[in-house]
Amino acid sequence: MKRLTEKEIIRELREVDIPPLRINIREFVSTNNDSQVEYIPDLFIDVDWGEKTWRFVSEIKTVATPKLIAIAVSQLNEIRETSGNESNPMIVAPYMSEAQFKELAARNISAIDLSGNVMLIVPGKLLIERIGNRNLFPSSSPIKNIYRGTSSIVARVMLSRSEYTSVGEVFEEAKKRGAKITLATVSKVLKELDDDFIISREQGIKLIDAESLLDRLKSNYREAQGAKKVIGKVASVDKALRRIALNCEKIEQRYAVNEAQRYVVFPTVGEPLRIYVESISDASVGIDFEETDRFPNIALIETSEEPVYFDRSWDSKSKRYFTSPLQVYLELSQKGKREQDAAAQLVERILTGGMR
Amino acid sequence: MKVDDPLGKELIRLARELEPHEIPLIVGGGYGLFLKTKLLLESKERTRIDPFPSARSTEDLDFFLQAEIVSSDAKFRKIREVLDKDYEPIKGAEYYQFTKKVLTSGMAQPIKVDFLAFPPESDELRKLVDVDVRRTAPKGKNRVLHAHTTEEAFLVQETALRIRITQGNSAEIFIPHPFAYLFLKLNAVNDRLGDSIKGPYHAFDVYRIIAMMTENEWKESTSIAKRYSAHRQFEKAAAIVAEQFANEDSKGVILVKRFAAQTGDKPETNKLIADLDYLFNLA
Repeated sequence: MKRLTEKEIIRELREVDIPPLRINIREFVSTNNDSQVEYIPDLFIDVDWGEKTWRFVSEIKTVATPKLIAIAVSQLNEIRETSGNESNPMIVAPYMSEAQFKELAARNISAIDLSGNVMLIVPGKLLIERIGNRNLFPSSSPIKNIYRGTSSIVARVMLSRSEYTSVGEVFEEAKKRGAKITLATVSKVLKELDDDFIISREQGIKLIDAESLLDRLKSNYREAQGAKKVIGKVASVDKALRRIALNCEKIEQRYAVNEAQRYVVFPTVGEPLRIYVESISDASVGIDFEETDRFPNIALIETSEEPVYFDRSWDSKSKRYFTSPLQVYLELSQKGKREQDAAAQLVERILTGGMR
Repeated sequence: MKVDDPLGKELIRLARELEPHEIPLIVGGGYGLFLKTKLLLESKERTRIDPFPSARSTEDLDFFLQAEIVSSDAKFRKIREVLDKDYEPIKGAEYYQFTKKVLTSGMAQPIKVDFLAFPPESDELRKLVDVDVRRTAPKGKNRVLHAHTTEEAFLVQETALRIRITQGNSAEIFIPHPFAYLFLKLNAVNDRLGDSIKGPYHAFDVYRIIAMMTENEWKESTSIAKRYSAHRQFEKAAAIVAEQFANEDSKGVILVKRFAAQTGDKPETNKLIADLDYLFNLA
């Protein structure tokens, strides 16, 4: 579904029904004097209840990103300051989250979305709250989820280095760290990160909220989907790893040993060592591997998902690639209590650039 | 037994420093279970449930202090003296939790030590100790260390298993007998039934302990159970088993399954239920 335009939103809004209230929409008509005013609202919405009518000065947003909502709030505040308390501020969008409705309510700002959510506030006179409906316009974002899958590479690049001069530089950094991603994707994701207040694009491109970024990567992380996996025993894990590295280098495929103990204090026993490979059959050539789930010591996971290989770290001593601290963190943080405790050891390192 | 992780190295160092002062270390918690699992994998002994689950430890070393240690002010001071060399007390738990940083892959990572004790039962030692619901420590002013009072640890000291661990140097340490561990974990489950993270994790540790019991340990457990069936802690644990582990629909068993769903383990809960029922209904 493509993103609605402001005109389409106004058209849809005319169909919104909030019994027993009646709403009347009046588009703002510009007059000569308006040129003296810095900001012009999009709509007036009159809400009638019996004999009473309340007028709302409304701002339309085609998508309710944190940044666009913040801009709307400041625009509405500007109007409130110039016109006094007679105008009641309101934001209209295809969908706003429950948290956004509550945040706006705390500022005495009303909101209506096209997904059936309503919060009307006239201090001391009117309070209507009907929120919690699901988003009927899920494609309001150009990319479905920028914190998951290949798109999440851009977020990971920002965590690995926090400042860039241009989109092209972010793209180059992603490539340098081993990602296969397009410039167009980098550009789109950066725009969304800006809308989410994660980065600032005022002067170059700068990470401004690393904590929220890490939190979103964590809550959106999913293990490699539908990945083929074989678990079993080898006589020597070290020898098998050497062989996998050799096999993959020969055919120019990527692999990454996923060993949390490389970065955190987290002793385990009886657990197989997980190795991501692009092809199990290619990577395991020449390895005497017995498939078993009885005390296995190795697990090969076949996946081509970009984030798994992004920013692999090369260990010159063992001469092999390991998954990045961020990848280890995201995997541990999805599991049980002991894993989550171990993941917590990595947070400071990731946020303070210890992995850069 | 060889250990190759930072916790093992630190454990050996502490044990060697305290050994000359006759302060043995009984290692409980996740690392105690980790050592037990490692021992079993190397010995290849038959266990109650085969295969038993893998073990994961955190950065914590939990030490159970013997009655003779918690009643000795001199020994408590010696432990504190050793810790003061490179540990920092943890704010809010200044007298029984300490932390230090160790290098892992070039980065400083924390190791935490924690002290616990079952208050002495003999009159002779009891009069030398101050005990309340939270703390156990030798009587006297100018305290330097407390152990966290752990009433359910009543069997830990008497039944502890001795092992020698090596990483360059070596040291003798003790781990709790699986049956002694059960009391700790059954109580932990009971206290955390509503905790969506800790509840399943403690419940799965109950399963892990039963699964890892060797035939010898099973026989020892049945005999210890007979001996202590009138003890208040045994009665409390038996009530927890009856309430939380009676059948497949009991809360504790559901928590085991919930944890396993997260980790991919396939627990044989029918065996868990039968073994717990047998151990706690011997009286």
